[in-house]
Amino acid sequence: MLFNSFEFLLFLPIVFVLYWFVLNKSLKWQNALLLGASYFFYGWWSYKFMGLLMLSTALDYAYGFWVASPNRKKAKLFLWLSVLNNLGILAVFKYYNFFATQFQQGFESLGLHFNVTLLHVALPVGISFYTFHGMSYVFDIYRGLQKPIRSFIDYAVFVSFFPLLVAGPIERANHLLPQVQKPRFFKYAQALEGCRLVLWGLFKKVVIADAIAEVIDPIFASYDTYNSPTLILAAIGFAFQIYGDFSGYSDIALGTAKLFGFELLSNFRFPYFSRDLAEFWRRWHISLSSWFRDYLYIPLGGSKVGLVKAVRNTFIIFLVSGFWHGASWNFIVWGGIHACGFLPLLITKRNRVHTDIIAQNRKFPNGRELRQMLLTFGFVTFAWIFFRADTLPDALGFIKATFRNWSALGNITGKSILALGALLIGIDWYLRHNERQPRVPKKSAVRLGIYFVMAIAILLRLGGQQSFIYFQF
Amino acid sequence: MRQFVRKVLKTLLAFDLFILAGLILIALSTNFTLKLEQKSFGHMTNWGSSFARIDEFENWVKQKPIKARGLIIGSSTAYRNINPHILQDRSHIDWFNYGSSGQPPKISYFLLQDAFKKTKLDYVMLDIYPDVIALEGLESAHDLIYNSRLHPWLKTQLVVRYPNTKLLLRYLYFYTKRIIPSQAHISYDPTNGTYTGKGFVCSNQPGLKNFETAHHVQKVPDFQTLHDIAALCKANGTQLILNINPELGKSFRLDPVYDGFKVITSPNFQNQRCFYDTKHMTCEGANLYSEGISLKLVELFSI
Repeated sequence: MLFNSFEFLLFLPIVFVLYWFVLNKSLKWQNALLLGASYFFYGWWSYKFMGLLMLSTALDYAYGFWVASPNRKKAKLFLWLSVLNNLGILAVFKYYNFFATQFQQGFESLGLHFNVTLLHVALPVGISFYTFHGMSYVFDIYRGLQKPIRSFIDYAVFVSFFPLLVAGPIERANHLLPQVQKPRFFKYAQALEGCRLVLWGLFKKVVIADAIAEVIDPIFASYDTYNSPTLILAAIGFAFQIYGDFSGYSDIALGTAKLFGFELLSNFRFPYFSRDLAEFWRRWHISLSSWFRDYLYIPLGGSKVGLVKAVRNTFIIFLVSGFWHGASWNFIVWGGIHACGFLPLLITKRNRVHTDIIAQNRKFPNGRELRQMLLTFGFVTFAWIFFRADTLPDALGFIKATFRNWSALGNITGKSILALGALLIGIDWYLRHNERQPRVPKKSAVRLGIYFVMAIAILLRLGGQQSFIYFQF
Repeated sequence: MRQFVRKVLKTLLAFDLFILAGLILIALSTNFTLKLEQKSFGHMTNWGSSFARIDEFENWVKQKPIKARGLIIGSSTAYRNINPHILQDRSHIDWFNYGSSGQPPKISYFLLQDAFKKTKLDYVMLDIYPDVIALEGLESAHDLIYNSRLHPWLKTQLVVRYPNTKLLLRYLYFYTKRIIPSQAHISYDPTNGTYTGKGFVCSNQPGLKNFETAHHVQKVPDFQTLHDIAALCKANGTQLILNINPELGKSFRLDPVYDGFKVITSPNFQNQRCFYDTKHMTCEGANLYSEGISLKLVELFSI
């Protein structure tokens, strides 16, 4: 089920009413309802893969007890088994075809003919997210940050809670599980904030991101036939589209969770106002970056292991992050570009310079900040070309065409991208102080007018809904 | 919690009123300017003449039948290419063309169910244009809701079947315009065709010249709605005829399932001057084509 669908418009109020009005006296029943609703939500997309979700949940639940063993050797063994198990699921469903094809091509380059069997199954939605939920639970138990929990239902809600099931935010056991286990009380202000976040998230996704997608999809599909300014606009357009799409999704997830009394981790903190790449990664897909930081980068030694190892660790984390997004060389190159961009900051130890809110007590950024933001945005947009292109040759072809087609200046397609992007960035600038509580005008009539205009714009575009980009990961 | 629910309900109510006020404002504005309506909903269009066709159909079903009745259903290839007047002259069956823009078999089935409730049909001719089979029917629903006086209950069913906000707003706007004083405006394009009655639109465009393309063979697939329509016809004691609409530069290979149906094909109807695009015919082309269909009908049923 998509957040931007009519089905969800029916599903959400039904679950909300059952949760707060019918089952509000029993935490057990509330959690059972959330689990049932989450499986229904997932099964609406494909009931066939529900078995995989349940199997993954059951295995990590069991590993949780085994990893808690006081015998550290035994605990370590089960930790590795759990990692193998989760990565095994990912390897089969997400990466098998990629490795098999690379294997075959490798042999063919040596003049050996080798036939491999490819799997013809769709990638199960949310697989990269729920396996990471499970791993974080087992890791946290191993590190002593979390105790294994007895209630399977509570654990299954942590893994499968429908707002975050298919595209995150990737939650941590020690953040979400206590909320699942404790009684939740309805808070008026929290629910209202939730509604605002859902509305803003839908607006970003349906009105901005989807409208941009309609313009840039044909350009990326046949980039050779467009001139350079149009290709540049398309690349900028994708930067806005993916931000509107994914942060819109995350806002809806956060807002929906608030309606049920949960506070999820933030996933975005106005990333396009970053003054360098390090700041960008503290603001973009935060739940994934911090997951890799805590469970991969720091165990490898992080940046406190000498320069060579720190450089190695940086490359590992960015390349793995790229590969996490998709089994394709263009994602790996995308990760590599970011690693190269991050490296100078790491070497000069300037990777934690910008930790404050930009232009905190001012209306506008100063010239230096503006230049830094534009440079960072330009770098990130360039890297997005590799993320958006279907294959690595397509990405390179797109870049080549951008340089080549200046001579064919004519009509520039896609000028609406700039208007939609300006709208997104303008509103973000106004809200930039707190991503979790959107600032709203004080006068209720103005506020209501804005909500209504946003709602109409969303409703007018509903019906031909597009899936969220991150559902494919 | 109750305070929150009350607030949400109040906001939703205010939102509904806001929408209603907007619809009334736009409808009233047509007395002064047509721009607001054009920008928000677009004017009703006369392209496929659904307005006239459905009005006439409602009268047709009310008349007492004096001879066998036949209904032609399908998309624009039905209402532009099959002339019911000619079919009637040759087959002595009272034909009505109930095609509409972008009408896929799903919508044909929906309209047929209603037609059977209103009248006895002896024959149903389902016009099949392969590219339309897979359509969901949203375009057709827009046409039927906004450009016709289809029964409100049928329109409501379409709105529920196709959850699309623009469709819902057009539905509401259609009735808002009927309730309040609002200037009706129907966009008319004389080059698009002339409505000649019985649901037929005679296209006024010239035939193609110098049309050249490589010849393609396209498979006409089996589809579930075909069986649903066949079952519906059988249950009503009606003969079903499938007409495979010809396309310029293309021939069709039928799925074996079509062997069990009475099918009319016209593989040799490839004269470019009879078409104004690859699938829609000129007035003369449609008349010639309809003559051919009539002959095949007479053969099929020994009329």
